[in-house]
Amino acid sequence: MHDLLLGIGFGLVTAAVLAISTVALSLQFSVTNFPNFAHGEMMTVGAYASLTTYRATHNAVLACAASIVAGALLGALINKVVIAPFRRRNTAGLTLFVLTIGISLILQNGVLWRYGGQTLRLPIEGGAPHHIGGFLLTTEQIAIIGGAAVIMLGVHVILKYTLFGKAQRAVAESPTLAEASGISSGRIINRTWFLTGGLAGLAGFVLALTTGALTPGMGFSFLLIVFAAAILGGIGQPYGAMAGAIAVGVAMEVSAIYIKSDYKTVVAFAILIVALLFRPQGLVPAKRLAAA
Amino acid sequence: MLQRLPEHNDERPARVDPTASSALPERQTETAALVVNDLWRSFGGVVAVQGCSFDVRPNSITGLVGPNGAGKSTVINLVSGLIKPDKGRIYLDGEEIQGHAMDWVSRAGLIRTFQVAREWPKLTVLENVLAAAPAGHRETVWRALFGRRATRREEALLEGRASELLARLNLTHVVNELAGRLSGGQKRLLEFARVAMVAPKVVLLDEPLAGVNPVLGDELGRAIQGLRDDGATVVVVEHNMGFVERICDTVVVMATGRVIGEGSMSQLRTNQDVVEAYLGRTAAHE
Amino acid sequence: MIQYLISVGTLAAITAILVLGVNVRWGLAGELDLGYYLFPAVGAYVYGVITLPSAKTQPGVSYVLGLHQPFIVGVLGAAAAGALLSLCIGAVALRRLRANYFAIVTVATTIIGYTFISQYTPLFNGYNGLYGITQPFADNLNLTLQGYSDFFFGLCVAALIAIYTVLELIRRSPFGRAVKAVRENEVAALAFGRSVYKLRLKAYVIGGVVGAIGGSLLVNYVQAFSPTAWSPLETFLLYGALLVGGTANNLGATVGAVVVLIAFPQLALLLPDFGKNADALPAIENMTVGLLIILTLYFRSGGLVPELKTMNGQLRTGGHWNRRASKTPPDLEARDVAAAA
Repeated sequence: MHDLLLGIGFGLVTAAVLAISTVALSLQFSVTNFPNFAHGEMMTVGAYASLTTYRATHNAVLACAASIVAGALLGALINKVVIAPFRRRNTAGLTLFVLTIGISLILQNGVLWRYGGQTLRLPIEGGAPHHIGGFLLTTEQIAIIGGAAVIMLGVHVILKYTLFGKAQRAVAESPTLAEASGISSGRIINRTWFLTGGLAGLAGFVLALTTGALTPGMGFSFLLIVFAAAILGGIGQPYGAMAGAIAVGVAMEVSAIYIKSDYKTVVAFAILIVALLFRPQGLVPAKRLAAA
Repeated sequence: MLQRLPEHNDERPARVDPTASSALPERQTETAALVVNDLWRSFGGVVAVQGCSFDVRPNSITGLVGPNGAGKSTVINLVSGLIKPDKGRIYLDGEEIQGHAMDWVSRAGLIRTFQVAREWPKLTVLENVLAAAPAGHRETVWRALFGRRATRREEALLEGRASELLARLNLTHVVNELAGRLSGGQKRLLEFARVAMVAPKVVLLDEPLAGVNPVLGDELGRAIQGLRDDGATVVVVEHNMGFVERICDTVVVMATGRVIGEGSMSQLRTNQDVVEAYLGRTAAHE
Repeated sequence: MIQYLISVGTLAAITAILVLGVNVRWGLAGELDLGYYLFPAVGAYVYGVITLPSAKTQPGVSYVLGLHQPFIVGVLGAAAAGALLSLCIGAVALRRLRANYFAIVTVATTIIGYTFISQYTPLFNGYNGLYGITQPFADNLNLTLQGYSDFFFGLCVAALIAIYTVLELIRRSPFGRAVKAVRENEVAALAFGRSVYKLRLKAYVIGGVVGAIGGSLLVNYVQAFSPTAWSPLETFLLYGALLVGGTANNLGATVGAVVVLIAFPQLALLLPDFGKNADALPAIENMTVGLLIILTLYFRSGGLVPELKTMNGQLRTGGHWNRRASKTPPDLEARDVAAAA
């Protein structure tokens, strides 16, 4: 029972990291209508940006801010320079997906070139452990969980109560209809990339914080877990993404108590596959086929 | 205007409902090429098709008409196997076909088209026609590697047939073009060539005039009659009533998910239910 | 110099086989399979355990089988394993999954396979992998070192030609045309009576077999195989080669493999030392592939050698379809068809 509670505690930390990243991926997917394969690399870039900043300033808050800024700028840059020219030609979603694979290759290897392939450490201390209920969490982990909750609340407010959030939902429904009602879908898409890029960068920083280690492939390895959470929660549904993140995060960490922890990503991917096969949103609905 | 679930008797097809029976001729289930019997289908809470029944005489051109939302396209989707009915039976030449997937229904001899022409864009026009012909034993890996002589023989025959069909539809000059490069009208004509290539028992055409230059109307009409002359039974869903009157032998009128009238156009003009379904609505709009 | 070219040429032939396998799945059938490298890897492992002697003869090593069989048995075994694995994964993943999700599922499947093979040592010796793969026919041939690499080069080129020919026959056949039709418009293929699922699965299995055969040759070339050799990245590089070379064109796939994955890295070796760490060179190579993917999709979406316009009718009649049609009265042939039917 004690182990189980510890597992759930770790699971909540993982879920917090996962939630930030998944909400970003899900939001971007819903607005642009294709999954971004370079999402993991946006996290990686955020993490390395925070590392460089921390090495220079020894200030964790500045490092955190640097990851957000780097991710946001990268997101906007990817959209402006690479995606938008294709979008203007009405390129098919699957081609855009392949395109993001190319971006992923460039970013991941760019980091490899700049920082090398060896594991780097982000030397921010975790703080003292606290007993909260049955859980045992460090100050840092509590901050991560709390921070994630605040961010989820922020995303909720943006989506629900701001003009940008409403416009975003309109574009997600139908870019042409949104255009017809006076919304510039290009601008909304660009802002979405900026926002989701910032969240991805932050997720990268938090991931580096929890694992303490940075490698050029860190984001990529994490990406499929993010996909698992996003798909479980329902693509394009930020609230579902939060639920999916908690389910996948806790399932992974709890499973690590009972089976070899090397297999815990396998648990996430098994959830991903099962979710896709049994949740209809992953499938092509017959009505969609019938429509012209 | 759709649709509260009406009270109905499960045993009795809705069309023999006494209030509507005046419009409906005796059923000819025995001889019909296609029989649709008491078909039901709902999406969520909306009942799109409720107790739809009709027969299609062999070798006829039957129009399926009705106001928007009458359930015509759903019926086409149900009959062709794209979606499954909640209830009801469909017979193709006396054989039950409901519940089977679209490819099975197609192999059984019922071919459908869609509101938007669905060509294979990166295949040439000729290849589009050849790829539509019944697969038989040609399309196996074994044949690709070891049965090339037999394949070549069969394909030569099919190519001859395809050339005839394409010539009939004035597509000979684009025979080696990629189908994706054709104009909307040409894509429609190509679709007729593909359907004719199958020599199906029954063809369902879902709004063949949609998105086509009206000038091509006559040509498409001739193509539809060509299908019939080749021995097929044709069902056409179409909004253009002039076109329907010109080419159809019989017209089935649907409203709110069921058949409300059936017969020739002149018969239907005197039918109260049909006039109400169409004119009543226009009057209300004015 | 010749020695160098032979060695590079051997790798080029093997890489071309791998890209041809990707081309069957993505080019011909339109299946975005991002977990493709699982199949070369399984081919390599299965070839290894079939040809290696029993693991009991060596201390500190563990793997299944160890049958000590000759080359050809190993290749056939690898092909069979590739087919079986494709069948299992394809049978589940190809059922109505949307293209994006199919891609994600394939990556996930591969990473599950990767984790399992690395961690579960009794299968293929875990993270250390297999090594000491014997050179095929080396005992019977009694060749010098150079003579043997010439021979192995010939063997790989022969395999490439054989696989290329088979795939070209498939592409030009009615089967290939049907698979392409499924790629172009799935619903239309259904409407004309094609079993979309079966056609997709067949193409998926063919791609898996080609990949596994390529893997069995690759393990002969490098003589060892471990998880470090097949990260998910490798699949993306193969896709890069195919996209740049020419999607859905076997010649394009071969050209792409040689140009992007062989010639570029070799040329990069000639560049002056401009990296600041050991990872710089591969990093720059991979970034170049990524950049090439983007540039190709934008400027030349068909690739260097785009898909051929036609594979059947025009090819057989030498592009003079109209002339031929006028020679044979169409009526006659139509009647033949009717009679045959």
